[in-house]
Amino acid sequence: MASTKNSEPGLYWTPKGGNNHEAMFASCHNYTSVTKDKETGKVSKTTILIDMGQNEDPKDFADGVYQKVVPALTDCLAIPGQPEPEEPAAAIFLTHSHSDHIDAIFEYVQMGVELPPIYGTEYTINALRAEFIKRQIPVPEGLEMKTVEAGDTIEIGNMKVEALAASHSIPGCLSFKLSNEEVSAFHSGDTKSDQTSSLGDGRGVSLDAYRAMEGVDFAVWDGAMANRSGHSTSEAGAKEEYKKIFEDKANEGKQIIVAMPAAHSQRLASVIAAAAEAGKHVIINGGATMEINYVALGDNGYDLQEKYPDITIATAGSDEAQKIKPEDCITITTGIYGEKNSPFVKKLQGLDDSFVLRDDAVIVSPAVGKAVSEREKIEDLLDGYIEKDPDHRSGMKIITAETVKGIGSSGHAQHDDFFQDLLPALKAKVNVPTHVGSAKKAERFMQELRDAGYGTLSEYPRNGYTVQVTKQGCQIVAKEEVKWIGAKYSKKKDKDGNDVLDKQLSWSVEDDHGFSTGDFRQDNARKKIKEWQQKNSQGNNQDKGNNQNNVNSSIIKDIKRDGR
Amino acid sequence: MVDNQDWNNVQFWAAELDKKYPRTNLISLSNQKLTEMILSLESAKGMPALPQDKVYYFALKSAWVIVQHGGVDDSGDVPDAYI
Repeated sequence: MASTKNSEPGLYWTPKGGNNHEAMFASCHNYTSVTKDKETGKVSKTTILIDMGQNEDPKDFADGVYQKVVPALTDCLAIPGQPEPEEPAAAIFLTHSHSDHIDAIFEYVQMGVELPPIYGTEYTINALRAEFIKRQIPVPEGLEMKTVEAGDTIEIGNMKVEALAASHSIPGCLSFKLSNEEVSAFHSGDTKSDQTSSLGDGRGVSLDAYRAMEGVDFAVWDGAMANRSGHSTSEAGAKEEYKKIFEDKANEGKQIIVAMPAAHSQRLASVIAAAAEAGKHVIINGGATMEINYVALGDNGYDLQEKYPDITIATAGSDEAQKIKPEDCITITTGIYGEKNSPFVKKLQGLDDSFVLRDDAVIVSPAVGKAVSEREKIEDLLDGYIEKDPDHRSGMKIITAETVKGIGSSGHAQHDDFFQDLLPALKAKVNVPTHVGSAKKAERFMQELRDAGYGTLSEYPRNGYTVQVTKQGCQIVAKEEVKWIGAKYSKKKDKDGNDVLDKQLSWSVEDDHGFSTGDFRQDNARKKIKEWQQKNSQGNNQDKGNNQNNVNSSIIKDIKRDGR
Repeated sequence: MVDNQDWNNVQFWAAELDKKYPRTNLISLSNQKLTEMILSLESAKGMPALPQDKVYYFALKSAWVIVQHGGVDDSGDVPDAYI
């Protein structure tokens, strides 16, 4: 945030990542509190960061030069070779431990940047510390990682930070209320309106806590524009729907396979709870990440085997799993996005035969609505599997959230959740979306806010815009082009011969390339077409001409896909 | 003691444990049991004291799970932002 814009009292919010033109990655937010002593006139400023995420899809950024891309926080962190920060951050608050909210921390540490104290729940801090070990990045001496739980209040300079429970796809999620002597702001982080949790920790969202904040001056809503039919508003509700499927007489004696995102620990807990109530054992066969998240639950006080002693919860390949018949258990797996390493996907593709898939399998894959393309991936894979051997068709069926409502698995509040629960409970004076996937979606959300009588800004605040929050109202007071840190990595091969990233080799500060405000993806695609035309105009044989057409078609397809 | 190894190279120690205890499911073991198993490794001889932090054991178990999956880390298959 430019110092010229923050000499007046207020709270200032600057999204540093996440408010992109056409991608939701890299959530990162700068909040600066400015107060003025009424007697002496002395101005006091305190800056904090909420989340430090990475761009999870950096392949197009800067023509794919970098393997990691994170917001350049030159205004609040002392970065080697960059001017001294105008307002050094006094703390970093983490809403949760997903990579689009925390992974920039690892880049900055490897760059040798000294970070202020980091605050998060015990689950988040444990996940962060484990990642330092797994990535073999030494934790710098002096880097403080402190726990803060829902209900705690931390005072940082002239700012008060209150933590509130958020309900997302993993445990340990927080929202924050920030305030100084004049004004206040609410930052939701990734959350649903779910007031339940299958983890049994009573840490769902508290709408009463929202109501207690009524009249907060400004609210930043993370991921506020999803609208998937069949979505589950509550994990308790999802558990009941799964239980009905498991107890359905029509499915008796059949193999039941539940596919879900590997990192959706909340849903994993819900499905295991439903299995336990239906008297079914559980085999977890979704790949490494799903198993690691199951271990993480146990290590953080959510030991599901201890909670459900009447069933066996086993990982695929273990001795315990070998003893369980497919019809007596629920097989939990991955693959709803067609993930290449999912054991289920590999089975359907004929790449790995170890996944047990019977011809009577009932496959529950909760991809819905706009995610219909995700559902199609599974259906296409199943079609391919059946085509190879039509006998497989005998009894297999697929259940999606379009056929059974309430099993959709998004960890984000959906349209109705916002308008029926969250917005009316909080009653913030001004509401803005962040991290929603595209500027178009954000603008649509803002229009709906206006139509429903909620306050919002006149313009979608992109990365680098600064909003001043005062008792008189909120306004955009600066529009600066953000920069990014691009990091180059060494690579090593995994067992399949695929390149995997190893160590950060170098980094540099990179321009925005329209990532925040323009059609950089389309520009990039046009550039590729131009390069192709130049390359191919040098040759003129027929074969090359045919290839030209093929290449051109695939590029056009890419553009359409990127314009999601 | 193995040159250039420290306890934080959990990928190395997970692979070592897998070699010596190929049929043992590490994820259900206590940290105490894991400590005994690591210290029984030939390559652990002469090493400094093992970290006694539960996060360390979680990182070790995570690395071991990846070893069981042929060294394939699928954590990036689906962006966290989608979940």
